[in-house]
Amino acid sequence: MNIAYRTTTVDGVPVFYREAGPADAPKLLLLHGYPASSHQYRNLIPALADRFHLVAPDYPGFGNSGVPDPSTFDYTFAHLTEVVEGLLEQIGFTGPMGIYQEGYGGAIGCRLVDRHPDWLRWQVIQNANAYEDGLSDAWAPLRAVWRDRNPETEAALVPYTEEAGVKLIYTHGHRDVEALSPDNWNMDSWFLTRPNARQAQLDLFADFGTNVALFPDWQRGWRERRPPTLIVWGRNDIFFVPTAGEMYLRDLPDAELVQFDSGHFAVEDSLDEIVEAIERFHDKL
Amino acid sequence: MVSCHHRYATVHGRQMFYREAGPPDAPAVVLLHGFPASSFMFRDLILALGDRYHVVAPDHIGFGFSDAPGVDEFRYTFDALTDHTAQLLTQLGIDRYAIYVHDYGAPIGWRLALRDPSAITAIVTQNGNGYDAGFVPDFWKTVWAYQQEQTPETEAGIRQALTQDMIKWQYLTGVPDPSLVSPDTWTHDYRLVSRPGNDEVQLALFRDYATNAPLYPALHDYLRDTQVPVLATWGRNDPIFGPDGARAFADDAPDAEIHLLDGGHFLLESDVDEVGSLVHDFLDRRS
Repeated sequence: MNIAYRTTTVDGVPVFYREAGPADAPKLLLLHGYPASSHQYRNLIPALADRFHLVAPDYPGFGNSGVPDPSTFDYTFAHLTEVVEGLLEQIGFTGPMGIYQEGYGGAIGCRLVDRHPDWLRWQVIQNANAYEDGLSDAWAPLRAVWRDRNPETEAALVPYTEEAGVKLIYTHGHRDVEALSPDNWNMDSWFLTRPNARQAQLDLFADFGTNVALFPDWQRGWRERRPPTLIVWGRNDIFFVPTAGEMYLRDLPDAELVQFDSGHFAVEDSLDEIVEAIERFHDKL
Repeated sequence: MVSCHHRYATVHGRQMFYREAGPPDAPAVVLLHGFPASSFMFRDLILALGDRYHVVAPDHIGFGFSDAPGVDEFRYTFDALTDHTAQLLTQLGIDRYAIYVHDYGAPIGWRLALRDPSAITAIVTQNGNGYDAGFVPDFWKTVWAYQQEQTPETEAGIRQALTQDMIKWQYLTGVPDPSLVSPDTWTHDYRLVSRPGNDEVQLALFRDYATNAPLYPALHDYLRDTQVPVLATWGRNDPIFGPDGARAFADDAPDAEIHLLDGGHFLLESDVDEVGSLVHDFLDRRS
């Protein structure tokens, strides 16, 4: 199964994306989380490429995309969404599609759907949260920055951008750490050492509060539009409380929920189960 | 789908990283990586072979996630890298195995075979050189000049190989569709060779590479004497080891199966499905 690794320019920023599958197959957009990139989908893509046309971008500041200077590029979720939208329009990956959202990908996905309600045919929510009570204690230093961003509150976030913190996001709550490839944190840590990369991430940590403010809107949208939703959830996520996956059922009572004894990057050790759940869910649409 | 395990073992006092997949009681296949890579280059092949084989892919000392002591603590030679690989396999209880060799993996694999010919069940060489005919002089002249005499000029030449541009060049040259090659490859390698002191490690191995060609006659004798099965799956556009290097195996292994594929030095990046099925088929016929 061939995966193409491509880079295009959106608003002057090099944007990298992985693409696979037949061009006429149903579209499935894969939106990555922090501190990762489309690298987190390296095994999911070939597993699904026989039945979907898949695109997985790296947001600016992440992975193989450019890291523009934060003094000239606003690292906000609104802006990253515009870049993703620009990429998709440029490559013609628009119209009704499935959207797989993990971590930050949840916020980007919801914002994208706010701009293009007709693009969301169905969605997979994997350890992406949209409920304030779903956020774990790991968010305390982020909340502090939302309240008051100053050198002191910002300094408390730096460990999340260092190799030990990056590795912990991957390994926390995973039953078998040997199943996780060190390639993940090796790659992410390296990307984070690029010029501007840490500042870009601190800006995004600070901006995440704007997503929390939108949670009620997104929840209302789901109640109104009832998009077919599959929730695949690693219960031991460092960022979300164990019941966070179930919270979506408040607004999407018909959603299918599959939970795993896994962590934030459940796709690292529960790939087969996630693939099977997606295929089964999509067959029933 | 096959699961890959990411493990560490202490070998001669050093941490060695290895990827492992497949049933432990299945026939073993040992994947030996090249410069400047690591077992990362086998991340997809491991999954392709792990359904029927016990696959082990170590990172050589100085590479990947294995320990990379400085040159003042460790004498980097192909003999020393082989000592560690051999000891790792002993510790894992692997005493009969096929080898898949690429680039630097070849001189390590040849040493394993020459030390214990009865251990090797089959050889797969993917741009893993064993003949003078394989060297592409345009690339090797820089290495040879540095081996002959270490001057600021020859060292500056060889240090080019450690730049991100040249690592990228190794991955992309000769690949018909470069969009099939993941940037993860050179990102991974460049990060690791740019660790402090790793440049000296790599320079030491460039110097010691001079010990490899003198072993070729012994390799050829071994191929003739044992008639070990040989499969060559070779990216024929490799700017480092040319296709004559693949064809030459027929001189000593008349039954060698030689496939020249339209790819480059890191053939697995663009053709893992094809190489995987060739290797599977080759090994399946022998087990």
